[in-house]
This record gives sequence, C-alpha cells and structure tokens, in this order.
Amino acid sequence: MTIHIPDSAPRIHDQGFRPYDGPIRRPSSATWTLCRYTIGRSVGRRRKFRFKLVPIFAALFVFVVVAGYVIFAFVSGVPSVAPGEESPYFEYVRDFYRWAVIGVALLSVSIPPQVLSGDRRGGLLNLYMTTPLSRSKYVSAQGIAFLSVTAMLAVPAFLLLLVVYSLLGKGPGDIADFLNFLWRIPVGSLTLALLPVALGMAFGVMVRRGSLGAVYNIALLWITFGVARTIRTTNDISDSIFFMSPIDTALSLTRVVFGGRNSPELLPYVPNAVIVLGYLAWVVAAMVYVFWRSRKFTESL
Amino acid sequence: MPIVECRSVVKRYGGNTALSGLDVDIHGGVTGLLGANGAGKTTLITLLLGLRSRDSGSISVLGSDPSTAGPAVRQRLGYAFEQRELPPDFTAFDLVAHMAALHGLPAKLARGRASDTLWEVGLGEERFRPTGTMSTGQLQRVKLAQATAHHPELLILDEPTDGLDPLQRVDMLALIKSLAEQHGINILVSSHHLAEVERICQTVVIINEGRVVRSGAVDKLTGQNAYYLVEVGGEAKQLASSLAGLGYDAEFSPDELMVRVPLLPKSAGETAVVKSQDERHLEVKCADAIRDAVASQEIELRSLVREQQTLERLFADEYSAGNLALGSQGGAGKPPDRGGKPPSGARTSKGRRR
Repeated sequence: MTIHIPDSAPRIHDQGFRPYDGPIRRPSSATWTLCRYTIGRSVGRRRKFRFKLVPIFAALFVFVVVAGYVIFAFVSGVPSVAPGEESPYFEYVRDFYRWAVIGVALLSVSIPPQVLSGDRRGGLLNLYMTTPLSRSKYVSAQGIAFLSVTAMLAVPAFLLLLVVYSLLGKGPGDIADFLNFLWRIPVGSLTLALLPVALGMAFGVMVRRGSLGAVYNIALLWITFGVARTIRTTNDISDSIFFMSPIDTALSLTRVVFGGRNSPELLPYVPNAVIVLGYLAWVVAAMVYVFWRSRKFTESL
Repeated sequence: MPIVECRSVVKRYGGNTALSGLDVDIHGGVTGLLGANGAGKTTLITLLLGLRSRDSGSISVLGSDPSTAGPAVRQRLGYAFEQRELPPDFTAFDLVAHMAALHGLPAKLARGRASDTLWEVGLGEERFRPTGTMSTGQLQRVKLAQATAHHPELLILDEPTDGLDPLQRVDMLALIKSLAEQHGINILVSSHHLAEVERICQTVVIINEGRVVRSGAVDKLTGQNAYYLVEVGGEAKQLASSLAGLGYDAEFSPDELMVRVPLLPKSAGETAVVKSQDERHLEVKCADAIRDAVASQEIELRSLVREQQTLERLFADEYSAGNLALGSQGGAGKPPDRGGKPPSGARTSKGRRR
C-alpha cells in the first residue's frame, strides 16, 4: 500500500501576538488609509443596513435613470443631427442632469455630517488624533473621501451617456469634440459635488448628531434658494443676488462646465468668471469654518 | 538613553500654568506617572504625543521632537486614553485593524495583527462583537489592543483599570505586565491607583503642580524608607529614646506601645545609594539593636515586623511635607478642593490607614 504525501514542504503555523517586524508605511500614508476607509464607510460597507439606505437611494436616482436614458436611446433611436446643429448628447446631459443633482445632493447633504459628527460622538476622532494623522490631515482625508464618493456617483453616469451616444453616432462629432467633452465630465461632477460636500462638512463639525447636521444643511440650501428666488422675482435687483443661494451657484457653475454656456433661466446676465468667484466664496467660507473648528479636535484628549 | 527626555518644559493654558519647568527622563520598562488631578499628567501626555505645543523647554520622545515630528512619533507610540467611549457600531476586530493600518501596517497584515492582539488581550472569541455591546472591562481591553496592535515602542496607558472590578483589575495588570516582560514593550502608565502602579511599575514619576517632585525606581523609593514596627509590653518611650541614642530615628506611639524604627540610621539620608547587600546588613544590624535594647530594659517584646514603605505612604509623606497639593477634577492649575486633607486610603504618619 502506498501512502501519498503532498510534496509541499511541512510548515509550522505559528500564530499569536509577537513583535511586529513586517513592513511599515510612511506616516503620510495614514491620510490615504483614512480616505479609503471613509469611502467604504460612506457607502455603508461593513455597517448596519440603515447606513446603506442613503447610498442606495442616491445610486437609484442616478444609475437607474441613466440606464433608462440608455435603453431609450437604443429602442427609440436618437434624433438626427442636422449640419451645424449641436449633438443631442448635450441636450440629454442637461436633461439627465437634474437626476444626478438629486443623487449627489442626497449623499453630500447626509453623509459628511453623519461621519464627522459620528467620529466625534463615538470617540473615533480621539483615536485618530493618537495616530500619525493630524487635524488638517483628518479633515483633508475626509473631504477627499466625500468628494470621491459623490464623483463615483456622477462620473460613471455621464460617461455612460457619452459613450452610448458616441456609439450610436449621435455624440460629439469627432475625437477632438469627444475629448473636449470628456474632461468636462470629471470637472463638472466635482463642481457639482464640491460645494454641497463643503457645506455638509461644515455642519458635520458644527453639531454632534449627524441627522441634525443634515437637517441644518437642507434648511440652509432651501431657505437661501427660496429667499434668493423670491427677492429676484419680486424686486428688480441684480441677478447677483443668486449668489446667496449655494444651490443656484453650484448649479450655474456646473451648467457652465457641462453646457459650455451660461444658463439662461438662472443667471442670464452674470459673466462666467463671476459665477466661479461666487462658487469659490461659498466653498472657501465652508472650509475655513471646518478648519477653524478642527482646532478643538484635541481638546477632549 | 532615555526614551523620553523633558527639559524645563513649560505649558500654560491662558493664565493657568499646567507644567512649570518640568524635567524628567523616562527609561525603558514600565513607568508609573503619578499625580493628583490637575497635576499635569494629561498635559504631559498630550505634549509627548505632539498634540499640543509647549511654551518653552525641550521634549524628546524616541529621539524625536513631537512638536515638529508629531506624525512620525505617533506612529511609533500607542495610546489608550481614559475616556470610555469607543465607536459603538465598530466590531473590536474592525477597530483594531483600522488603527493598526493607520499606524502604517499594510491592510492585510493589519487584519492579522488585529486578530492576534485581540486574542492576546483575551477577546479572541469576542472580536467580532460591536464595541457598543461590550462591558467596561472588555472596552478597556479593546482600547489596550488598538494601542498595541502595531507593536509600539512606547505604550501610554491612561487609567487602564478605570471602571474595572477587582478581578478585572488583576487580569488587566497581569496583561500589562506581560506586554512589557514578554513582548518588550515600554509602557508609561498614568494612574491614581498607587498600589497598582507599585505592582507593575519598575519606576515612577510623581508630578505635582507641573513639576516632578519624586522620580526613580519603585524599590528604591519605597525601600529607602523601610522600617521595623516594634510592639512592646512595657515603656515604649524608653525604648524609643534608647534606640535614638544609637542613631535610629525612632518614633513611639504611647497608645499602642509601638516603636517605628527606620532601618537606615539618620546619617545615611534618604538619597543615599545603598546596595542590596548593605541593605541586608543594615536590616540585621537594626534588628540586633532593637533586640539588645529590649533585653537591656527587660521589657516584653510582643512583635517585631519589618514594613516596607508603600507608594501610598510615600505620597502621603510628600503631602505632609508640603511637596504635594491635591488637585481637583477641574484640570491643570486649579486649586485643591479637599480642604488640605490627604487622600482617603493614604496612611497617616503613624502608619495607620485613615
């Protein structure tokens, strides 16, 4: 009788706690470790189901709708383009745009306050401060993570539209046009996400409960939106009043990026440079507040 | 070379001075950081971690200045803080693995280390439970595990037995001791529990009002003040004066017929460096002197007990000598709130518990 012995060398499976002599990454890697971790946390990875609800709804608003546009394009065809006319892709992007806004807004309004206030309330922030992370690195890592999550929502959807319409021969006219529109997708998506994320972070470092931060964030967006619109329609004053509304400011700039022109219904007489400045003013104000509040992160240690 | 060196460190919070020219060297092994509330312990720890900046002086932790190389220093440190909260929706495993990854371990190795460390601290079976469902004792172990998983060169523990019952305390102290002795981790323990510090620490640093009032090896600090407690059936006063004539600083208690005789004669002084052989010789010499004095006075000797100075006693003596002020919960620089009384549990100068 022959006993077959595996040819792999015998090994001792030594387990247990012992001095660590493996590789150690540089202290700066902690920023990216936290960033990756927050991305997973934002989409509900390894968390209870209730934390997955917002990402699921946001994804539904974006990906189900864009899938509908794609199916519609294949089934019904796409209108022909007359010589000199703009590609229908641009029209569909503007049409689809409102759905992407809802998805991005859902995420950016609720996730940053939930994560940032949760870190403080649960003691995780104190733990972070004992690692190679500093206060500014913590804020930066979280900001990059939130932007990445919202970009992951918006970029593939716009990209899918672009690819499908190009394949159907109704997209950008040539490769130069294609590339000209390709760069607008990440830039436009980030533009769409940056301001609400900055505001979400500002409320996240302000309050101790994430839900309260989301409510404050929504209240700010809608109240300023309503007030700006009311003032403009009831008074004959400058269109620049729209800059008091972060929603209008972000939408205007994103439309400028995507459509290559100003939005006639929102800011008809405002130059693009002024829109950019108004947008940056909101972002800078929110982030200055976030960094200012971060000075108190180590006080409870 | 010390792992922590502080020279003339000053830290102020507005008008309050938390550290006022603190000088201390902390070497390897287990070191206890003692002091009343508001003495400056937590301020010192935050300076060591590079979380706050000092007003003047110099600090070196593992050869680097934490105020300029904070992230690099913190990567080599582990810190288990005093607060009880941990993120409730994290499992112990996720939390420890995440913290190990933040300290520079690659993700896969961090997960392996998390598992090993949680087994080491006695939470192997519970490692996938959310921390929100854990008891205080288990949370203390998770805190210890998250600070230890990356195998720090210096582990700082802030009140590691806070909130634990007596049995859990014993377990936790044994665990801390094994981390130091079996795994070679240097540990700095900040605690109010003097008896616990005495059990696990080789050296102690006693801080008061932002300054170091005593520091050194525990056995030296306590051993220098060892004494014989003599219970007699006759005139204790005569015995005390007889021993005083031989150079021993004997105190007597008329109520209990007790004589307290320090083993070292007055001339040796408390800062004298005495080798262990000399200690034994002095001890025998002192016992012989007591025996001879009792015999010559023909009084009854009921008991002769050698007692060791404890850190509690040392603390109380420093307080009696005016070297310590008892702080409040309020933090650095605040006045004492106990009306000038020594802590409960501390011994009086006669060696009895209050």
